[in-house]
Amino acid sequence: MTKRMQEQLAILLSRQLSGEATPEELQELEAWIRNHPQDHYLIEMLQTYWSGQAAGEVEAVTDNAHFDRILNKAKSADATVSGTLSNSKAGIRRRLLWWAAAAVFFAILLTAILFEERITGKSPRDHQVATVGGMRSHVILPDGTAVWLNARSSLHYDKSFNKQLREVYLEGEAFFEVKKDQKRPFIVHTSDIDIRVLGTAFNVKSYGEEDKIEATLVHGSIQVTAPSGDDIGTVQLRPNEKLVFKKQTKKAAFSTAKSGVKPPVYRIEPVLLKAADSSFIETSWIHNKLLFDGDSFAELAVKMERWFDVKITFTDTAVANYRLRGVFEDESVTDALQALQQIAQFNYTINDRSITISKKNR
Amino acid sequence: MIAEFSKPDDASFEYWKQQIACGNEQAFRSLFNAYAPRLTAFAFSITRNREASIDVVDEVFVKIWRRRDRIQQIENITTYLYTATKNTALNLLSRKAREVTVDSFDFIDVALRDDYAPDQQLITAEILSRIKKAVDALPPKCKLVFKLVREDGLKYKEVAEILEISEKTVDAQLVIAVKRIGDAVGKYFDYFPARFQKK
Repeated sequence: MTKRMQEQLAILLSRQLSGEATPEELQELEAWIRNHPQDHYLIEMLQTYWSGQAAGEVEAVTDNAHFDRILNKAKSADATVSGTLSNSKAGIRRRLLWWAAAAVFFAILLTAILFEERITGKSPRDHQVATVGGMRSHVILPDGTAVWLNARSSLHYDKSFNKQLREVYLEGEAFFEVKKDQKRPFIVHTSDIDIRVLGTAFNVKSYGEEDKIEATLVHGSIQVTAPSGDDIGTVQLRPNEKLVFKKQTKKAAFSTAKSGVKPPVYRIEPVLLKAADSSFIETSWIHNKLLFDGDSFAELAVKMERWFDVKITFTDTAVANYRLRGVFEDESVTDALQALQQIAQFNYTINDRSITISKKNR
Repeated sequence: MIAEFSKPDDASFEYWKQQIACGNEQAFRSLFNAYAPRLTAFAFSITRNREASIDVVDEVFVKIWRRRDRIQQIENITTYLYTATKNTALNLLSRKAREVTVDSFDFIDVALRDDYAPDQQLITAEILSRIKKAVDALPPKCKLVFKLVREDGLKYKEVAEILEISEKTVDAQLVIAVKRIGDAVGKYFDYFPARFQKK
């Protein structure tokens, strides 16, 4: 037995232990053990010591309350920064958020007037999550349901949430992964329809500026009802189906009521899977992808406005009617427009956050 | 896809970065839960104070959230977090010193985790106490390299980046550590040679 460990062995062993050894060095170490059987025991002992270790002396504090303190600290720091730079982006974003909140409040006020009997006795909303353009968010509700909120959307629920029912109110687009609870149905209220589930995953798109509401089911089952008099009764959706509900303007709703003729207000479509990764186009946004498949440029522009937080106007209807398909992932709005120019003929000008799209000059 | 979201593995890093950049608090929470234990232990090894090490890690994460618009520029989140923790901890130790250099580790003796005797006949309590003594007697910088590679499982490249030294130095320091431990155990063999005779 040598009294001191040989340098070459220390080199080979340290590289083997750290996982940094090359295949040649590992072979060399094996050869060393074969040629120096007296070192075998020492090597094994060091290997055993290396891999056996106690848990950390200091346990990190990873409970929610502690994490929330970190967030609050970061946010209060945010506020100080924007306080001194009132014209900064953060300041503008804050003001937008305020307007978004105000708009939501106004929308709720309207809803309250329209469906007074439904909300009688309910406390005002207590919890709200809202996103502005160009921003997406993920929240976990008190019952454990996970919600992804797309740009320019808001979700709120009140104190009674999770008591007998789990009711939320949505404006905009959200993806829900609902925690199973047979006793307490989960209900998403939109401007025109309600979606009722027990435990499932689905996407709801209900933007005020669009004339339709879409509910896409990923798995489980959902029930869609229209409480506002456009009697669609209850529609049961199966996985990979999508319900597209045609919103009626108040005027249109009255005139159809008078004439007694009811045009179909909804249709059920199959959801198309993208072959490559069998993901839904409808839910691609939660993976930060803006997917479009045969949309008109005008329809895509509406999505882009929310996605990139811009305003897009067309000066030419032919351009607005182009059919496009593709996907944006990390592109800036300029990258995205340049990519579109590869597949379609148009010009664009950007002025701050407003974009004008025009016919390409010959 | 929900499970993917909260699982702290390498594949999630890019997704976390994207999500944190656009203000997703849940992704930020996942990142925190994945790293806070290791970083707190690392901060503790420098500050040797439980409260201080928690404060250090809090400060690192507060900064991440405050500058989340720039998080996409971070290439390796592991080395970034360790470096930030190191700098914050050193700053705490010497508030006056504006400049933080790695030379600090020639003077600051880091704390190591308390090893338990592995449930093996191979390492007796006596041998373990000898190994511990040898590890504890390592020069400060050498001990820190040993800790980061063994306890935190970091690669040479990552340790080099965090401590602002070359990979060669990391390699050399670890060889010194292994050799010293080997020597300590080897001496023990000399005292009780018959006990360890192998056929």
